[in-house]
Amino acid sequence: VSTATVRHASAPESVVLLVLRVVLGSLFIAAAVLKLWWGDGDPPQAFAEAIKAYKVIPTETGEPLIALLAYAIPWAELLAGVLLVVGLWARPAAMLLVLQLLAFTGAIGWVILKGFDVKCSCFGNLDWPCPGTIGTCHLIRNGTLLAVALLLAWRGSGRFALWPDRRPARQPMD
Amino acid sequence: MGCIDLLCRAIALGTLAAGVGAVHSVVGRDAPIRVTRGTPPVVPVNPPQAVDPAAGTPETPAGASTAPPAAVDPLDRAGKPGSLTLREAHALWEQGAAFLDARRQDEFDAGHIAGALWMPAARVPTTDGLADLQFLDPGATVIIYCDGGDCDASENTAIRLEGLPTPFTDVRIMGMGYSDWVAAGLPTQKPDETGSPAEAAP
Repeated sequence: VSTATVRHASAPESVVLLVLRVVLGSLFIAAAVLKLWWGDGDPPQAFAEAIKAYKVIPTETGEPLIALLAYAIPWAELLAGVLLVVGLWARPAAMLLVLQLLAFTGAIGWVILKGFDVKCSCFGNLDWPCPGTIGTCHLIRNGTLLAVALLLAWRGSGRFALWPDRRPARQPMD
Repeated sequence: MGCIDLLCRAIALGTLAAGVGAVHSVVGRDAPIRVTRGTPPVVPVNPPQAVDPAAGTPETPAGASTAPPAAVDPLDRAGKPGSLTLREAHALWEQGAAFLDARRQDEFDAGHIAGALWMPAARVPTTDGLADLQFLDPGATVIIYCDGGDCDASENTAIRLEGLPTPFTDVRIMGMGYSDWVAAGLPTQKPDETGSPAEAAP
């Protein structure tokens, strides 16, 4: 199984990793495109209004930050999503999604704690898969996505990737 | 790849994305993203009266403050600083001012201020939204409401109206919400009912 210095993931594991990469990556590509380009109502402005509604960043002093985040968050989702799907720098890309999901989940928890009546706006105007305002469903969804992202950050791209990552032989993982 | 190394690479990717986003935010739009109104709130035409003249308080002792907040008529509460009270908003409604409802569609459909148009912020730049707004004179008094408290929807719509190619110049926010309007017994309607002062206005 192992070579002298490096080895790749097994074929069955690689298939699972490929599927997870494509699913998770596509979700985040869709989320980014819906925030930046698609949907009614001038999407980046709409997303800025969504960030404002979470009331994590004070509106009066934080307007430049909110305006930057309205572009930076979807671009981070897009970059990580594309890298995951094609299988290039997959582990850092998955790790970036872990960081983002932790931040998003924190913001959702804050909204629930404060009892704000806020729509998620995670997928632009789409209410998928959790309808209505933010609630427990969003926490469960994010927890699931976080688990997949963590798995990919740990196990890597598998062998079916543009640039399969390699594992040191001295750290067998199977 | 160790854990710290992985984290560093992830942060590097995030920084790259933030940089691309920053460039995109500059080159991607004619007008910058706004989440606060550039102009200070319009001063109401009828300034709120601290004391109702009808009630008259001649026996107020000098130096004693006898105006606890609880004594203020709900009609005279502004809800938010610089916003219209229910009394002021209703006076403007009677003058035929346009009312815009910034709440969700299901809330609007369940009932709204008589004559109000459904206009949440995201609808303003759409074909439907612009078609509705065409009926209004950009210089006319426009009053936006949602449902009071910490709802930002009115402000978001105001920002969009003031950022249109032909901006609306007299946009005001009714700080008290729709439920306060209903509680005060002021006129409401359902979408299928007719008789809209907003559409009758020039």
